[in-house]
Amino acid sequence: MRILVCVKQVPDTESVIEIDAAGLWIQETEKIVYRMNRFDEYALEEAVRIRESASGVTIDALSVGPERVRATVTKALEKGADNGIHIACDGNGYQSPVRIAAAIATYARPLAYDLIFTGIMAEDDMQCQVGPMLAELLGLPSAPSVISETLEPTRDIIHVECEMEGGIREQLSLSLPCLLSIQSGINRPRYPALSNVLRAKKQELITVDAKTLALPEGREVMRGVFYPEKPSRGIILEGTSEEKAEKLLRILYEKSFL
Amino acid sequence: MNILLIAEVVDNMLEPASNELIAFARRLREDPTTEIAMLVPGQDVRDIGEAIARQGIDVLLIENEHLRYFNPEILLQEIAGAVDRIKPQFVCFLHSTRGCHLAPAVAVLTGSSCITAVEAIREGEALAFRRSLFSGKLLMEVSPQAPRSVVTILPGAFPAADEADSLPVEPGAVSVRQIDVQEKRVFAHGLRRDDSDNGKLDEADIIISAGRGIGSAENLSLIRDVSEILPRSAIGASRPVCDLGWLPYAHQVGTTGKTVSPRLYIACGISGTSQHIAGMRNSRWIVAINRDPQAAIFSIADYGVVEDVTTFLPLLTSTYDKLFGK
Repeated sequence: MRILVCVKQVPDTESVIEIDAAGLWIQETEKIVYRMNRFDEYALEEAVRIRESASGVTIDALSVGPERVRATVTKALEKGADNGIHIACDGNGYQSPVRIAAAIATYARPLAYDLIFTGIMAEDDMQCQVGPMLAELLGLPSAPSVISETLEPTRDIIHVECEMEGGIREQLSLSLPCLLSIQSGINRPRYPALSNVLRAKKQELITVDAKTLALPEGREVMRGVFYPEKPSRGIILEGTSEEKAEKLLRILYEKSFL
Repeated sequence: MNILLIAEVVDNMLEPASNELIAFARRLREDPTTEIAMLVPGQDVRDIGEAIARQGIDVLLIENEHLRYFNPEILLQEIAGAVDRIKPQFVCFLHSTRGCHLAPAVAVLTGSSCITAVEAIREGEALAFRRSLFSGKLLMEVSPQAPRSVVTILPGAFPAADEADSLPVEPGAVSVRQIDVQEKRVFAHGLRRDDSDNGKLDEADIIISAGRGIGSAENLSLIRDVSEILPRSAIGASRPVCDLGWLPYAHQVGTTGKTVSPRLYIACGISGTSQHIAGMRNSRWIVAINRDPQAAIFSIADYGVVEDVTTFLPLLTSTYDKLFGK
């Protein structure tokens, strides 16, 4: 049984984010810390848990992006993936989801994975598109926001609960092969084991040049990125930390919250 | 040009935000003669359809026993079929878990552009949609290129017209399609409602919420200390804090947690993703404390404090003791 986990490298959300000169994406600077998308960590951990509870399961972790994303693929090996795949494409700018999904689909199609896991969304562009597009390109059934899963021992059906808005969980069963987008909180991702860290250090990644994949053009055009307008109603408290604390308490007192 | 809206129906109940799709479509069309139709899939949705039609748009009901619960396989097939027949220029879903799972797949099936989590329409020579990036630290504008676009609309961004304020209109036509379809690869069994204790968020006058910036489960004591000085207050949390197991999900504020509107909401170390903001934006007063001056939470705060919560909250408690005594 083979599981593919799609992982994305994203800038840490606490990094200082600046817009590039062209105004079309963020500036690559040494101030930006890149790491694995947190939602994908849950997807990877869920695959590792399936492998631990069943025999003969292989996990491939795949990422599409420039050279720097290899670090995230290696991190996936450290966290327990068996094989790491880097689909290399140029550029740090905005990538159309349909191209990323097509790149993964082209790679994955001949390998006939039994399960494909993605995180529910990427923390950087927050589009929630690649997973459902990938499922459709491969003709697979899929389910969103999976918060628990149970694989039948026969391995032809997986039962899932999907977390919806308003405290509702939809209960579905899907025949394999299928794609699940994994919700955060389904598990607690583990820290890498030392043995996996040592293995990952030596292990070669499978590298595919995206130029060889005949990808479709994106169907949308990026007009630009902007900083949000400053809040019109809000006041940012100024002064030393002590002064800010005092100002805030006086405001709360005046509004009779204390 | 015409616009096809996809209503979200859960267990034969209309998700009220579906009405925001109508508000969005009326903003989107340049020409008032542009037809707007809403597709309503479900098991028994005639009453829902008639209520929607009274707002002056045509309604296409798709009924099947397997559409009572969320079956993405059947929904996709039926929505793509409707797109083929109606040939709309825009297909619009809510940016909900269901909607943003179906929309990209419909875009692939119908060769359309796909733009998700739309917050605003850019007026100007070229149509563009505005959406957030990086937890709201940045915005992007993106234009569709294909002749047809599938978009998802961020709930709350296009408020529905108040029914009482709108003029009476000629009701739209309601057509019903009873489909004969079997579940093949996806089987929808039903749903479970999580009605666990909500950490008293509903009754609270004041909610003080912890985000990832609190740093550790131990540091939640800092939140509790501040909560002590605020009468009728309860403790909330952003989703990551619950995912990390620092607080139970009963405390979670946001689209997959509780929607709250206390008199005062204090966001501590919360970045302010649209999912969190959707759950607390109607609070009367909002205070945000975050060390990251770019954090999106400041954009909706009445009072912002750019400080690390792990050092500022103890300072707040000790200053309170100094100013107001124990």
